[in-house]
Amino acid sequence: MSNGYWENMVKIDMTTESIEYTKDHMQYVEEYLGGRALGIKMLWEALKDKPDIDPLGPENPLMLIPGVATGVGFPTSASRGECVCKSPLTMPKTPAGEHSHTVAYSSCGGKFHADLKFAGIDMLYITGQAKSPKVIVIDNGAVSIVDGSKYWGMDTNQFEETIQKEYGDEWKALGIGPAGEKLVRYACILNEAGRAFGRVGVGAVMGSKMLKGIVCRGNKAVPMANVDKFIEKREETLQTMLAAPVLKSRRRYGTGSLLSGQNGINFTVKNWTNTVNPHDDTIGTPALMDNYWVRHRSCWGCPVYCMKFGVARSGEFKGEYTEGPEFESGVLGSGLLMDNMGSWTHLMDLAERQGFDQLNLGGVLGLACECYEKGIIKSSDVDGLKLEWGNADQLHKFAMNIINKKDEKEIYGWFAMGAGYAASKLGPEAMKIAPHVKNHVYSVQMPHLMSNTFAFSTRGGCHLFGASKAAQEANIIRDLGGHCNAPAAYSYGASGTADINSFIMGISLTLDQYMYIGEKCINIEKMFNCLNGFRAEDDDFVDKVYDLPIPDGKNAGKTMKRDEWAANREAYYTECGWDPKTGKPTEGKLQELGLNDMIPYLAKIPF
Amino acid sequence: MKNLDTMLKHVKYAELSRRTFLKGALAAGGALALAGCNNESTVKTVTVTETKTVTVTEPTVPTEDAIEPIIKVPSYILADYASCVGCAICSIECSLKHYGIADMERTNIKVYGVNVNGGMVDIPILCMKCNDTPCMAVCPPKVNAISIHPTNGAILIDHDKCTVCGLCVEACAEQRTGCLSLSNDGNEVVGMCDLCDGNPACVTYCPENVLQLLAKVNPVINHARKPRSIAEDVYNFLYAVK
Repeated sequence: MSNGYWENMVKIDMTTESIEYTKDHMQYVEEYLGGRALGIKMLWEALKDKPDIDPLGPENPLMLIPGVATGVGFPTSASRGECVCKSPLTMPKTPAGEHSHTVAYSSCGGKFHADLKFAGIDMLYITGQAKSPKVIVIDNGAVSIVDGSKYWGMDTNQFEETIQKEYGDEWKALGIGPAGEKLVRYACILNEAGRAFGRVGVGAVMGSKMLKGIVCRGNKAVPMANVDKFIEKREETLQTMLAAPVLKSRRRYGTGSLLSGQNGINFTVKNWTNTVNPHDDTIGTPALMDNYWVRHRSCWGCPVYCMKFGVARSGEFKGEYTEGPEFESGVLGSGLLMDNMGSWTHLMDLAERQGFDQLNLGGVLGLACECYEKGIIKSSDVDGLKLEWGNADQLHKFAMNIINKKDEKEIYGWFAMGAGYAASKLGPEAMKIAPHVKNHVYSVQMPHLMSNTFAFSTRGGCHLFGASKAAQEANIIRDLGGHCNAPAAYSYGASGTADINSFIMGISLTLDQYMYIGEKCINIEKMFNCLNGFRAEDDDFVDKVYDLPIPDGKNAGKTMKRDEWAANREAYYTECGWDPKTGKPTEGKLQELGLNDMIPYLAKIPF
Repeated sequence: MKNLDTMLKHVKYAELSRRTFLKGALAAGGALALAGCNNESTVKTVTVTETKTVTVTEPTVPTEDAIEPIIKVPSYILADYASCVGCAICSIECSLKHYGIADMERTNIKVYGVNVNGGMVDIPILCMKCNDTPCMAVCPPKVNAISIHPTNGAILIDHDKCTVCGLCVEACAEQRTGCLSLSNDGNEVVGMCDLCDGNPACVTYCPENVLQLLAKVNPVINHARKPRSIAEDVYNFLYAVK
């Protein structure tokens, strides 16, 4: 059973600076395999009796878990890791206690996670809270904690560059920027100038532990159950992936192909108001191809190098460069009505260096712009800044104020808590237009067309959760193996993904058995959220989505109706075997899934 | 210059003419791999297709270091740093071919992802088959474990003879890229490229044709550069606005 695993989990307590090498995680591996499912199970075990702990306190465990297929060298399943903890960002409408938040799980590519596996480590489990800034150093399996004071305050790129100059260019650095240090709730953890554990505020959790970053190098070959099958399948998959049409497009344009591809179909313009980008000629995919991108970049072992780096060639911000834009970066581009690449780059670079999640930052800035336009926020409220659509300079300053003045001035403090929270403080008019579900900003698509995955996601508005019960369970096969979304979907599919996990771990599970693991994982997430007071009312949208049909583009006139949505939600809960009115998991369902130890906790759900 | 022309012939022109943003990266980046070796260089225009020309920097070969190539067949793997995407498929294929598993400890080609102020640059580093072979020069005569393959020009290490004294590793680290290293257990010198008997897996599998098998070009000085030093040049080439 141990194939694919080193049987080595590193438990780090930042308070006492103790480092312990254990096998504690192996007891769950047979049942939950790894990645997101393993992390969620361990989060539940750690917090089931104290679901109300402060996510920015010492008790919240921050777990970094490379997927089961990470580091073995299989194309696209080679490089991703999962970060699991309790989220500091998401919020219910009716809190169950002082600190009511959902689970947090976030996936990140790049090269760090493969290196963590090469270092002989299955996962990191970090608790506690240091008194001064620290950095965790992992040298091929030997873990130490060093002083990080000199790195504190650096942006994410300075941090990685300094580490590489000090330790050597083969070192990888995963770290937070000033946003994470100052505990902005939607901070992210970055490596390699653009690969991030972006969502649900994991960067703030890392910052709360006074942990600037984790630096790592490793070179050991990952143990694998069936090497023959691996070599046979690898060659086959590599050729399939090189030939797949969608992946050919990804290779050339990245997800940036969707910036023009989805324009006028399912895309956000002006804070999720329109779908047709008026500046597609200057910031659309052809413009990026002709006059912006300079190179491709890949995660470890992947033949679909969807990362693009680009340089702004003209205008006010000429010479600025960044990783992107990806499809989701559109929230800082067309979402804020940017009309040139320089302005867009200015904001993407801000998010990357300061360590903001682009989507949540885009949601916050979009809300700020729309509130400014409607007169809810005045220039005098925000130190004289003009929060106009497309004004990258002023929005950049506003975002920097969110980091630096969040404790001084109330309004920046609100915006540092997320779009939904800020709107609730700004008043009922702002609450109607904040683009979020559970205080988590959703992706650059229209909620009218993506309602299921945005609303039902157990981590707040999210496009990668899955639109149906089956898709959600299949996505967990992806998340537990460390597979990347698009390449897996467009080449080997869910059954192929499951097959890869199986031959690496030396297990023989059917697809149905994998889906069963997925269902268990979702039920644990749901139970955790219910204990924190997340009800059916939280699986819902703001008024703007119901009031305004999509005004333009191919889907013009598409509406969301409250009664239809309530019926749809009930149908989904029923399909999941949950209480159709409240969304609570039922005793019968938990029994069916073999989660009998969770049944006593049903009585503790506050509704 | 003959070698530059040979190298440019390997570049996929069809791709180059269709994909405008790769135009500079492929052609001039390839030149950069060569031009980086010395400060004296001349600029010339190379005809890429019938309708397009690009300007590339052509290196002048340093006469002092010019040593007559011993091997006349293609025996040198040239990396076009500016178009390397950093996927490390070369590393994986290399170790799969030699050891049957993705083993980043013993693989003969390593890809360094270098962060230069947020502009990521990927630098593949492998044995440069140096004409003056500092590794061979320091190998004690009684041991004599390092030799040059008589036909394909690869520098080979005989693990039966090798005493793992580490002198070649030191020499490579001090004078060259530092592609050689000791294995984790300290019992083996790893990182010496054997050119896969003339058909290198890294070149075959590179999805962007970054690696090319060429005749040796006397780039002795270039071989002494470390990943970050090369990366900074590539960074200036890619991210600077003209």
